[in-house]
Amino acid sequence: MSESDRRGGTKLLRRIGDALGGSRYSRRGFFSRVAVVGSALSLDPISFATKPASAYDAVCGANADCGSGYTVFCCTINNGGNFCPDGSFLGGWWKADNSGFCCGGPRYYLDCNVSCGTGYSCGCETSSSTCDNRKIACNQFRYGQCNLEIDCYGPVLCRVITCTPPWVFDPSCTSSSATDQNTASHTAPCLPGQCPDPLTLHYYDLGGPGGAFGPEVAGVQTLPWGTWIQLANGALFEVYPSGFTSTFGALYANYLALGGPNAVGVPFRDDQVCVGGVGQYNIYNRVEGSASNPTLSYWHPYFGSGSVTGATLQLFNLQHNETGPFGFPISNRLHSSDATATYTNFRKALTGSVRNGRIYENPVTGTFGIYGTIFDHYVAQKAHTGRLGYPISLPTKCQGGQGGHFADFATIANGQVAYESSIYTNPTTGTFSVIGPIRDAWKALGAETGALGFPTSDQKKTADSLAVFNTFGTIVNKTIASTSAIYLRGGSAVAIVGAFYARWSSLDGATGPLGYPASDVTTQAAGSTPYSVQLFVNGAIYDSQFGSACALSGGLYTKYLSQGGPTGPLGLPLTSEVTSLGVTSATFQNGSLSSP
Amino acid sequence: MASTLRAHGIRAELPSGWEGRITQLAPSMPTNAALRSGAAEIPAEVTRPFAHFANMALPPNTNAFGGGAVEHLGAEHSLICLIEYSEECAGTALFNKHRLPKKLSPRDFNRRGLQRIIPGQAGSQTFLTEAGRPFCLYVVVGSYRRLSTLTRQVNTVLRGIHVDPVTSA
Repeated sequence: MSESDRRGGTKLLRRIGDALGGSRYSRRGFFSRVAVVGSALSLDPISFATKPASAYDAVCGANADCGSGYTVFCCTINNGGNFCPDGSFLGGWWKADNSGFCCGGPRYYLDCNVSCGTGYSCGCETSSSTCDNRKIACNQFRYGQCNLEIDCYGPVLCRVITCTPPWVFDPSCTSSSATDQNTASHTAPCLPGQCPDPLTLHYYDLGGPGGAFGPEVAGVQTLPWGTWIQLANGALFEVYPSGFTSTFGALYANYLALGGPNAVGVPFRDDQVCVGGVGQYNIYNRVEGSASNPTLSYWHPYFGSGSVTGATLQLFNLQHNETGPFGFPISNRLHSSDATATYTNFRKALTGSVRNGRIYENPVTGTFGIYGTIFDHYVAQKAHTGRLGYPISLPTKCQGGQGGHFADFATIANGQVAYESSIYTNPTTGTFSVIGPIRDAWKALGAETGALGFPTSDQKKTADSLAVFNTFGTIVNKTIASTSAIYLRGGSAVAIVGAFYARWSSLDGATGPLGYPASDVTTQAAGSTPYSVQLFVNGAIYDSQFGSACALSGGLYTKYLSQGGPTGPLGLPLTSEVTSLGVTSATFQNGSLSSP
Repeated sequence: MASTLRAHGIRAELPSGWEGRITQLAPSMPTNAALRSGAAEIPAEVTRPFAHFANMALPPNTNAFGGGAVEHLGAEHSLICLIEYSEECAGTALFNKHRLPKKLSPRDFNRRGLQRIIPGQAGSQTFLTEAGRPFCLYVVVGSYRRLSTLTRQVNTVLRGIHVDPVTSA
């Protein structure tokens, strides 16, 4: 943990501590009095048992009464918090060498001087729940090694205790030493006892039970990678080789939801603030670095918590983490209802809106994610439980210069890809899916760069439920220029394109006289004259230099074919058939036909 | 009979009845426990000289700000502590007063102006930079009631204190 990390972490903790001020618990009352006796026995068992002194004397050390002239400890008057209360600042420090409280090293006493203009008045701690009855805000004195930019100061409000050198504990302090062995035994029930483990010392450096992390939930526990201590609002770790790390608040809650150290390992640094200053993250792992299986956990003030791990994390990294298109994870790893895949949900803040997304891990289709309107459409179509299956691509830019994105999907049957689908989104045509055989037929015709253009509908059933179809549209100058369709009936997908589709549609499509399409458009020749024709169940549409998209159906079409069709004596049609007074007729290059 | 005390770039002409001591402690190191914070290397503390002048016998282990001595101050006694700080303190807002005071006023003393409040005593504290060296001058008088007399005695000593620009080894 670097110096700047520590400084930033300290500021963050102070902010969080302020926010959680109401949750600080009080050590006062019956239970703390009971604890004093227990502490006395553990701290100084011989003198407590043999000397005519109270339990409070043994716990609080020498000169613990108000008349002794020394200042109270901050945790005594600060709801258990071993830090300077509001309206005071670190004014300086001294040490007592060879302290049992610090395992034989120096114990540091940091004075909190009252800030000028703050209304503290001289008094004594008089609570019967503590033996630390020393003075509060009486000693107009300063040691002078901390916050040297502050030259106006009031009396010493209280004392903070640490085994950490003050110039490490708080960057505002210098290492200019002062020693006073007379205070070596001074302590309080709200401070750690003799030679605590390093993690407990660190806990008290961060404020102890009255600090931002709150009281202990479970004591120091050993892990394969170090030790950890569970606290009300977070957890502290000593991990090798990083040293002290922590996770806090919502990130901590999610860490527990993920299963804690046995499930995801430990943090190898403190919680970090995300790029841009909104949200926080931490990485949990069993080994520092990415050699193991890290879990990257996030918290966003509006989106909540989530995490990524495994192949999803690799993809998330490639997509620039929370700054990329997926944004923040808003769930931990979830399992699909068929238990064949896992997925993680994401959300990204946009100007005035949010964008949702999801990354899937599937052993058959791989690890891919979608977001934005494609994701919204995917969810509207029942996501992985619907007809589209699982994503097999990321959102990708469309070809042809008309804008838009698409993503591909695949359904799985018997452990293999059954069919593929796509969702296309374009500002002119909208967002629609094309599925299976219709998609294959559309792709064969050039997809969005072909004659059909972009999908303009999802796959729908016809009114008689005998077929399904999609409509498509080409784009010119950001408007739809021509529409087409692909129909899937009896396992065969047939496209009706451009003028053919327009004519067929004008004749009521599949429910009209032509019925369903029976072939794609083919180009043929009548002698030296080329023409195009598309066959339908009950007729055909002909397109040539003599007549554009001329539709013939029923008896008239049968009669035309019986007379040789385009290569017969009538030649190519000049008009579509017209019905008048019960008679259907059409004109051709070389004559006309009527039916009946 | 007056005497002269000199060490670590501090010289004091002490009047009769006063004794003094100029001390510089060796740095102490934090414990292994305190060092296990993840920091690659923690710099050691910096020790600088401190001087004590008193018109009583100075206990042998008097702390920089007089701990161990003030408990023995009689009503007629005074203790002058001059504590040097590390160079980085020089010229900061707290140490921006230039020159060691040669004369204190009784108004400079406060019965609560003490590192340890002992009934009857009064203290005065001044942070300063003298000859480029940052100091704290901390004076404790044994009797607030005899403040005028004791202040005059203290001022006699203060006039005889000189600080060299460079700390001698």
